[in-house]
Amino acid sequence: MPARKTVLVVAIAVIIAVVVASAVTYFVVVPAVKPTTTPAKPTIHKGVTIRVIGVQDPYWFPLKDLIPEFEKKYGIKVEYEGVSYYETRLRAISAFVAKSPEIDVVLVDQMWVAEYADAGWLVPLDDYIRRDKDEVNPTDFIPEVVHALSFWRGKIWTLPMAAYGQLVIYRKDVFDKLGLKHPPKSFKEDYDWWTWDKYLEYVKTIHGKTIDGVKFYGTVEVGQQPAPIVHKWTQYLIGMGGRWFKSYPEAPWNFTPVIQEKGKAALELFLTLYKYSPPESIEYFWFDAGTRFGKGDIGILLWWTPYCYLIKQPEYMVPGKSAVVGKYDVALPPHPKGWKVGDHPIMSIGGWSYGISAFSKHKEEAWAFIKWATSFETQKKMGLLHDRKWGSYQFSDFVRYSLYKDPDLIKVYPWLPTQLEAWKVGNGKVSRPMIPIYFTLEGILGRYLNEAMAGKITVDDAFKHIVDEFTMVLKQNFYLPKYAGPSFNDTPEVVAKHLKELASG
Amino acid sequence: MKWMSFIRYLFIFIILGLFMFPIVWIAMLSVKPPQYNFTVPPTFIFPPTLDHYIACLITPGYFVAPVYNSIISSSIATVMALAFATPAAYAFSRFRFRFKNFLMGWYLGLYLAPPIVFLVPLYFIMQKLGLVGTHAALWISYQMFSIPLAVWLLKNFFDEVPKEIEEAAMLDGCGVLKTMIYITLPVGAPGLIITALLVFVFCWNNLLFPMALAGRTARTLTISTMEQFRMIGVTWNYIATGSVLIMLIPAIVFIIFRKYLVRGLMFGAIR
Amino acid sequence: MNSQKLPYFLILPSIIFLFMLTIYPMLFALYHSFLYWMIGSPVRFIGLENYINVISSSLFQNALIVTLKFSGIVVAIELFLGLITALIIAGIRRGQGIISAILVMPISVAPVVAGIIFRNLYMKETGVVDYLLTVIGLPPPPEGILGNSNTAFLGLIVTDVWEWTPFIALIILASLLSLPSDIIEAAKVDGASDWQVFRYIKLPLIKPTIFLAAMLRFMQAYNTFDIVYVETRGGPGIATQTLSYHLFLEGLAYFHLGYASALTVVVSLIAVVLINIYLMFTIFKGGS
Repeated sequence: MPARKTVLVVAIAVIIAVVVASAVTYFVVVPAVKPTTTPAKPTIHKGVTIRVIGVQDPYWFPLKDLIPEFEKKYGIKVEYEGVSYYETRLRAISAFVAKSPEIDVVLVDQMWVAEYADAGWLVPLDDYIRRDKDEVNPTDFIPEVVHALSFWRGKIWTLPMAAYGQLVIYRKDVFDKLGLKHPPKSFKEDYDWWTWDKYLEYVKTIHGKTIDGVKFYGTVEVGQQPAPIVHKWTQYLIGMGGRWFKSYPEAPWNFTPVIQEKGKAALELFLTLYKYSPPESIEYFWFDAGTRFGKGDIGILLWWTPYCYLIKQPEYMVPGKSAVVGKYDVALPPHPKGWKVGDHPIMSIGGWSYGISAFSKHKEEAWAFIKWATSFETQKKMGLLHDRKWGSYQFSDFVRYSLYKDPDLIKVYPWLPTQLEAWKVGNGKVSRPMIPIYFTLEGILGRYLNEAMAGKITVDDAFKHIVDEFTMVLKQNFYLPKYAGPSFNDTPEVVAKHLKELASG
Repeated sequence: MKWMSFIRYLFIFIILGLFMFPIVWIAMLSVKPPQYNFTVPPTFIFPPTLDHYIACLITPGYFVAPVYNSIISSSIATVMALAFATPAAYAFSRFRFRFKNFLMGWYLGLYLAPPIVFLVPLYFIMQKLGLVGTHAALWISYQMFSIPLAVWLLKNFFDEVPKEIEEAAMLDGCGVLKTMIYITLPVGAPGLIITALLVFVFCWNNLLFPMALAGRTARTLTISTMEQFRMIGVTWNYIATGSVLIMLIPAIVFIIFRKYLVRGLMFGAIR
Repeated sequence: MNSQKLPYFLILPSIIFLFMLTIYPMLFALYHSFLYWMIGSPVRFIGLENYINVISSSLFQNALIVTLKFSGIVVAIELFLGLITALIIAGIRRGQGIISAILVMPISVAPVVAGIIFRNLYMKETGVVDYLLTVIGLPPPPEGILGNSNTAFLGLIVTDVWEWTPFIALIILASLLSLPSDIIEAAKVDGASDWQVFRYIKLPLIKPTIFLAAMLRFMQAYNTFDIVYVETRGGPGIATQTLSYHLFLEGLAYFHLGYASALTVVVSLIAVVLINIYLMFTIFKGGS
């Protein structure tokens, strides 16, 4: 046995090591970053290289083709990276935590803006917009989109790049063969009959029928957790009038979970629809549902709007013609019986926006990139790139009114008027709250939704777990019993006013 | 008893077939034209093509930089591990001292510990030091299992160097260090080479450390093969190519030195 | 130089290096395990709350059960199959060289690659394993082999068994071949049957080796990460989420860093206990 003296020496050494380690690691803990001051006159430094990190969602490909134009115009070199959904977040966060300047422009999913903003990782853009208002044209942005993708605590933190709603994509040839009435493309049409009951009835009618030698599934669901299943299910939640918390995003904020009130019905609907869906869709990612519809054995798909054009291709971002080209049409999402336009929102809004890293060494150059990428000219070019013979890129996830009214674009994407009308009834923050702890809550939700889908737990049990774990996380982060921070009345109307104010300088 | 022998050989034949099949399959996949990838039933006979290897290694050369990174980080790690481990292994082999068993146990424990346990804190520390994305991050972190492995393997090899040679040298007046460098090492050189090769293989096969620490600039072959599982779709042919490339060196090393493998990986618990 | 101290000097460089590489991260984890540290939230001290959360977390309990179940099952299967294989190989006269050369190959395959290969073999309809199962009348579940919790777990087991059974087999084979032949000869001369020779002479002699190999494999299986990451990502749901994978998610994907630090400490403690049991039977019982 070692001598007592040795033990004493070792113990002291360990204590000293712990103290030293603690002192050193204290400086690793992230303190808040001082907010940047108003930008001075713009000086673009030529020859600078900026790094842009994003997800390889549909916008990424046509934008990549246009980057040489940007590089030539400004003399800035762009390192343009596309990685997976989770890696986008991981790369950005690890760069931020280390306060590293390695990323200049970061792509932000709608729900992460609050998290990044509150942590001091993004540069607030209001002053930049005000300064360059003629170029940016703030009132051309759709307020519901800016509200969902870029707005937090009264400030704009990012510029929207690609906006997604959720619309109904259906096989018009199958509908005709079965004598089903086509769903409405506009609220000005007869819309009252297009309820969730009708939607389910249609799915059931189509399911199992063999048409032109193809055996049909009514619809296709998406079950991969954590994110894809939550993105799909929250459309049903908001579509039935549900919400996550008692009062959010309207002030005063009260985060008592009420997700179970309409959530149970939404989950029942989801599980029922899964019965009329290919069983392997429990493992489907976002684009698997689109690819499946493109194979030609699905009747109806309610999903993010990029799929309106993605389903023309046989696989995600692979040129070629799928089996459903010319055979489908796009309509508005269904509503709960008795609902009228102007009542609660019924459509989820998602999408991507670009932000400037607070640690970037080239903020003006990053701002030039963001302005360019979200401009009318660039986005129209992106939309019309489908003519290129070697690449069938398509892009209709527009964020500006002017793009929806452009006749060239409407010719290529005939659903643009429907998509434009749908923004009115959409709200991204109700369907997926933009709060800093969203990602944690999504993980909990995704896990139990998936287990319910797999038949492992009942709907009631699922929501018991969800509410319990939500409550625990909310308490730990001081959202319950009473929200410890300041509430902010966060509605599209407030955003519209804000944009007007920026435009008038 | 001839049919007993026949049954034995039959059984062995089946077993070997089962163990070889996955390896053969992935090798086939690496030279399969893409249209045969997803056939039902699976295709075993097809005209092979070198297109995937050309795409991966020549033009556009997706795996060229990763192969380079794997080679560099594994090689440096091996040299470092041997530099640290050789004196330690010599000490364990030739001396008796207090804490010997404890220390040997500590090395073994490090090798057996779940690497993820060190990885999360190590990631943040390396971020702070600005080492993420460098080869240094890799060959430094590889030491965690390389040094213990090398120490144990070398100790076994040194044990087999006859003590008489050393005693003779020491009688002639050589100090301990001189003896180690000029006598033991040359005799134990084969052991050094084998240890180096085994350490290299373990570094080469590693996924977890590069995944966290290599960033984009130092990504190894294992990482870039995994990257082929993309959102856009899975390019199985390139994955197969990467897999075959990953398998080559370890397979050759293991086949040639299989005798030492068994002893070494049991950490001398058997002769 | 004092020859008493010399061994310590020889060991010192490696110890210092490893110490810095491992102890500092452990202290880092220990320190942060008492904090509430989540990206985007302010950091504050919460004492043992992280540990309470870890122990009571259904995710942790699930991961622990999954890991222990997985390790136990694969070790048992590998021992069984490895023993049979070794016995049969030991009984043939020619070809042992080539056979062991072929057997070594699965061991040399990186776990990542093993995961990749089997993920391909398990693919719905087009994967060889899926297709064969359908053909022989044991159709895989409609969600696919990796889409169903039970079959995904089995699939991982098969992958691990494929990769490591040869390891056990070769160890046992080496052990069998090194048995003193005189005792065996004597027993045979006395009229013992092959089975009796095996049961009463060979088996007891190789038992220690089998035991050590089993413990070593159990430790390695406890750390399983690569094949989970490639084949199932812990899914479907959390059916195949091992401890290593769970820790990886919490620390490097979700950035629940306070919780992950406490989890690190807990996982390490369990590993330390297991390793010490292994060590007790090897070093401290006079192995080398």
